[in-house]
Amino acid sequence: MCLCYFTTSRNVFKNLATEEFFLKCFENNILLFYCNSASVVVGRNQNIFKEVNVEFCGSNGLCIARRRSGGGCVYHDLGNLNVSLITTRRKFSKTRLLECIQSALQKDFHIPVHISERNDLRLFDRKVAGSAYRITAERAYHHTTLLVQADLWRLEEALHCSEKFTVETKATESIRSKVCNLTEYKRSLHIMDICRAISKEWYSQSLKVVPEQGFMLFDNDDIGRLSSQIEKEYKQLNSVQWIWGEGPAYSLRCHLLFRWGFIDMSLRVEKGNRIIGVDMHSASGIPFHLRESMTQAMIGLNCLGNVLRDRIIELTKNEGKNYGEQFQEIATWFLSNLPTLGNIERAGNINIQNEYRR
Amino acid sequence: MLRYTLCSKGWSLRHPSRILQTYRNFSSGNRKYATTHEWIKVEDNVGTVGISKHAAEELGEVVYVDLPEKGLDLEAKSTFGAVESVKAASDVYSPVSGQVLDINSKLQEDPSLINKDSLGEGWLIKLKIQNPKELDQLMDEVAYLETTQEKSSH
Repeated sequence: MCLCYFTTSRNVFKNLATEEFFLKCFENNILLFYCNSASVVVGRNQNIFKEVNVEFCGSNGLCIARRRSGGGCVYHDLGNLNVSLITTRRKFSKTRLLECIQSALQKDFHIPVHISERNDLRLFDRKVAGSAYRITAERAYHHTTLLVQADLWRLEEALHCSEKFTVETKATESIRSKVCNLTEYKRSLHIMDICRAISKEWYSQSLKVVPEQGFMLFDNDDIGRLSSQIEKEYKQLNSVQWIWGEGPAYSLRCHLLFRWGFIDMSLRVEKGNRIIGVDMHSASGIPFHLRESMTQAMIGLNCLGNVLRDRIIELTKNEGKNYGEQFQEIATWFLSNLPTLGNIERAGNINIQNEYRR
Repeated sequence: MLRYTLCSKGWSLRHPSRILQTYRNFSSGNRKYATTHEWIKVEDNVGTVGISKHAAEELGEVVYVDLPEKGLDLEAKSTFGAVESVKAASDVYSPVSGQVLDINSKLQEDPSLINKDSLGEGWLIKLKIQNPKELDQLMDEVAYLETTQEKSSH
């Protein structure tokens, strides 16, 4: 028996938590649809700095989330439809969902999408949907993001590494593709109509009689009222520890440029997002002994803008008192260019643990 | 397949069940398997854990391996990390309870070791075994291979 649901929430963390809930707590096959307000979602083993323009996301109100499936970084907004097929591990297939979507788009809207070798959906030479998978002991899912009428300018701006950083890491990298919206081919497309077509096609492949209703709404706005399991998933997925700490270790080379000088430094960050080493490659305008104090002060801290800002400001009270102006500017640079708790909190009701304030 | 063996009486047909017996003794050694496709090989109360050849083939080319920190305590059947292969993140589970003594750091440089040699160089973690009796609940190699053949016939 297959269930088709469309979630009511537009919050990326609530929707990812709902998907995990259906994966872990149900036995049925489930076809889940959801839309998220503007956000960027990285794959499980990716590095956010390498994939995402963190500053752009912060100043444009985009959430940054990390999903549990593999694959590359994607942009979501209300013009993008997410479809997830959740089954037993035995019935898991990398292509079945895409074949169903392809069939629905062709039969109902005459859109000639095809499935690529990398299990993307393409319209001629443009990508309209990517795929990612998650496999656990008993259950698995394949989810895809379908570009219907998304803001492709914001997608382009959000999905690249900022020029201010160079990142070295063993994290998985995204494969960039030229994309397009389905509405570029057929203007009058509506996300709800696409959902109905996909669920109808799915039912007709699985059952002899297609239910009239199509999909049902799943109210996941008030997570706390649903179940403790889904609330637990939500809290984990929108925690700083998961989003910023789960990715692999990395080295973040930062180029800080000021009117009085410059600093070229690398922060070596372990999994968990703590700085374990700082290499000052070159600097001007700051004496050598103060560069040493600064690098020592940063070790052991969380690689977050407000954390580093607070620590650098502290230095001006002692060793750095004659260089107050320079240290102030360095502190402000970290606050503006690294993710800060303020941005993360605003983005998605983040569950901030006290240790991340240090 | 029938095989002949040479003994003092000359060539004789080996009974198929004896072939199975020989295979059982020769290949399984002390490697045991979980239903979730991980294997464990124990020596001096230290278990080396990896994923089976079947699992590695099913996954395809491995591009990243997410391993736990040393010192972490694991319960039997709990997830300790994930193997990522071209967009698919697959959880891996500890076959028994224990403490992580070592992780295979070569996998960071070359995750495809899991595809090349999942039973050897592609090991994932080493565990200090807490409760040796848990090993009795795992399958030997022959029993595990039978389950994979059942699944592929579905």
